[in-house]
Amino acid sequence: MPAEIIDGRKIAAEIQGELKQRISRLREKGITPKLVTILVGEDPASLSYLRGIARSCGEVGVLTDTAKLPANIVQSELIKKIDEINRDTKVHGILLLLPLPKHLNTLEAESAISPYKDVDGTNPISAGKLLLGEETFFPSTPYGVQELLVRSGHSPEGKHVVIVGRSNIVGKPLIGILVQKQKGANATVTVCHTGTKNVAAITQQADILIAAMGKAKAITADMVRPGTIVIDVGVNFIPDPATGKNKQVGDVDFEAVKEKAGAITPVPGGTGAVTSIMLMVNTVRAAETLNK
Amino acid sequence: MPAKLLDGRKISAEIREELKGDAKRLKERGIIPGLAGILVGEDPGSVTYVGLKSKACEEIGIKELMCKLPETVTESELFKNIERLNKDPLVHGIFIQLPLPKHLSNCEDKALAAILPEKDVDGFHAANVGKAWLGQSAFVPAVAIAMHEMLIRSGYHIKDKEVVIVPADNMTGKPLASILVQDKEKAGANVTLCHPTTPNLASYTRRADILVVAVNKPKFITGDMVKEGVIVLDFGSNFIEDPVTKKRKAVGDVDFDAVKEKAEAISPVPGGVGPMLVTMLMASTVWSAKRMAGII
Repeated sequence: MPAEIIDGRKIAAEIQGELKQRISRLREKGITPKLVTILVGEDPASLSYLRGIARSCGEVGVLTDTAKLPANIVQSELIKKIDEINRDTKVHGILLLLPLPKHLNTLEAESAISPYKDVDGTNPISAGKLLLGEETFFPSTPYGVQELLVRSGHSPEGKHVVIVGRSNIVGKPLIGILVQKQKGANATVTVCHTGTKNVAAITQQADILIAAMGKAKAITADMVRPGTIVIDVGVNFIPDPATGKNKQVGDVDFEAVKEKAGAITPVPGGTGAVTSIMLMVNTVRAAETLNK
Repeated sequence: MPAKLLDGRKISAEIREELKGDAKRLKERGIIPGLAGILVGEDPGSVTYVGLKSKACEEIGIKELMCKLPETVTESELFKNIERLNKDPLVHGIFIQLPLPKHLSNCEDKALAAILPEKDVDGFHAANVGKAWLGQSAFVPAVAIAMHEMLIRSGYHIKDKEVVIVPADNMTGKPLASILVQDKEKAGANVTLCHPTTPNLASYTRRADILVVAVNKPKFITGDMVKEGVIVLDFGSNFIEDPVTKKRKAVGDVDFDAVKEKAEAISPVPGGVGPMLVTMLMASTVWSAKRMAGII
């Protein structure tokens, strides 16, 4: 029996609807949530990400602005700029676009973002609070994974979650989020990676399998136990033999795995569809918290 | 064949010898590692434990700067003292001996967060927790570095091993995972974080190449819950009545007699992880002094 398809776009729309209500309540108090992005130089991937953010902001009614800084900016000037935005009471969320030019210290810049405005959860203090189970902003991609699970009725509570991939932006924060003794979490979590010997022996244990290694179709049907909930965080581009053009695929061999899985997220239209809205959720929460 | 014992006292003594050498070399550069402990009141357990830390400082050549505050100290006085130690250039490490007296118990987290992350040798500050998790250099709680040292110094490899940890708490499970999960030498394990309440826990523990347990329940891990050849680190601390002598004795979370017949190695209780803790605090203090001096 083919798997239930977890529709990221539908869930994103649902979250968006809730968010619009929260924003209108803030507006009644004279507050409009605002996200400032910081772009150093003109990295093409960052520019494309920026357009996506601007679209999301426009759809829900979050103000947005980009601090465009020259590629040759010195570290101290960058920190000064971040600090200036930290102190701007009209700004609720700050997102530093990566990668920064090589001469800049990324960790120091991320650490300079106020934890109260760190809506992408990249400041190590935010990462630490996440792991400790304290209130903080979750990075959007792993936060979106949790929302997808909970809202599609596949709560991780009491389940065995296997995460393949241990990156700082997806794998590690996901472990931190899902292992907490909290609602929508409280899972037993195993993390492995592409280099793991006999990775299939581990993935076959999963009630919920999360693929986040960035390798096209690396999770094959034989690695999945029937009935598993499969969440695919991968974004890969491979040539489509039919059209000759590049097409987007995940880390999971979707066509094969969907015949065995209990539920599965497609790519595109799965986790990616939820990521950008989670950034909006964080920005709105920042505005609510800062104006309490 | 019965398991090898992971002898915390022996490994601890070995590390202390190395630290003495480090402290001596620092002294030649005019640097004496300084450790400041904040002790509020006279809780007997805390006084004893602080005494162990003082003795270790003396042995290694760390200057101990105790800050003893009366039981009745106000919150603002406590924070003034933390601030003073943060600013003191002779202090490379600060710890607060917990628990704080009742009237201060709700500001424990705030007090720990007030310690300068660069001097937070206990590794409880969110900045250190986050950096460690992200794979950057940071202070990590003593239990976790103690366990890592015990594995490495006993010659056990971590890369690609299945490590199962119960529980996923802030003191042991999460910090240990922070070390073992990184894509680094002497790390790179497949880590599973379990809760004591994890359904069918034995199905996880039986998979473990390295099993770590710290739940404070005697005989929580029984012989049938481990596989042959497992390496077991037991950080349980329980007191039970000895059936023979009728005296109270310390035991861990593992059914030691049963598990030692199957394990490759096991840390005993007492004499396992426990004796390592104070030493690892000393190691973090020496590391901090080196780091502040720009030597590492």
